Amino acid sequence: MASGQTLLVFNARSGVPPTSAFATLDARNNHTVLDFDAAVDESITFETLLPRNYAGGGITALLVWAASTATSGNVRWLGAFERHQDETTDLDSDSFATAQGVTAAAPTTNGAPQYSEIAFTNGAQIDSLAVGESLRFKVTREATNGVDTMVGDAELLRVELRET
Amino acid sequence: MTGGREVVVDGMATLSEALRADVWDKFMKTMGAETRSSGFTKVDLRSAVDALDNWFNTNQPTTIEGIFPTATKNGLTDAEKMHLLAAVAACRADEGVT
Repeated sequence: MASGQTLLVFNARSGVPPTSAFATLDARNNHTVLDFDAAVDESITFETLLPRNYAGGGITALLVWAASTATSGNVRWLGAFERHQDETTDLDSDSFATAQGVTAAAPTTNGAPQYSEIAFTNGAQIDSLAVGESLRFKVTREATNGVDTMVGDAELLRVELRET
Repeated sequence: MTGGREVVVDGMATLSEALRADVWDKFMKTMGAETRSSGFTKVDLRSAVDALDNWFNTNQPTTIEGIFPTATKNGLTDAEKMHLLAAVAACRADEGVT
């Protein structure tokens, strides 16, 4: 597959909450979003399989999000991959690779979406995922990070994973 | 939130850091529910919470107490006076009398 091509797209409703501190479903003018709190680190996971047309490159995660109330400030987003290797990975415990992040400014117009990207290099950053393997992708708003200054919820609308 | 009530009844103290953070967090959630735009940061809002709590701590014993007519000054507890103040303030906000 050529660089820049879409591998996977996740909508808010396909998010699976972790056991605690999870983003919550909400609606904004009938758009389904996942609300990430401004005071507590909250996460959501997406479960899927790496498509057969993946060519072994890095992966870029595109987060499409909006601010619930803010028109200034920054949000700290983290993304992390978890590979489910054949007859190896123990699903009884989490095994996400080290998260990669981006600090993204709130749109200056409330209600407008912001497109923010997190780049992952091939290898350890994507938990050494191989084509055709099951995986989870976790998105976290690291609200307790000092660089996260945006007041109110961040509303995640969609996530795209594409080959870098 | 029982800890918050105890501090208010005592009158001469500020809220704990945890309670101030709780006020801050809940207010942000309320703002989100109402989809109101804001051009300030979390730190700015937290500073406002701190400033208001400090103002109450400074003014409750004298300025706020002095507002009440004698009968209610003597007849209401400190906590009841604060609840009445909050009720009037909330009504003014809801009606746009600001």
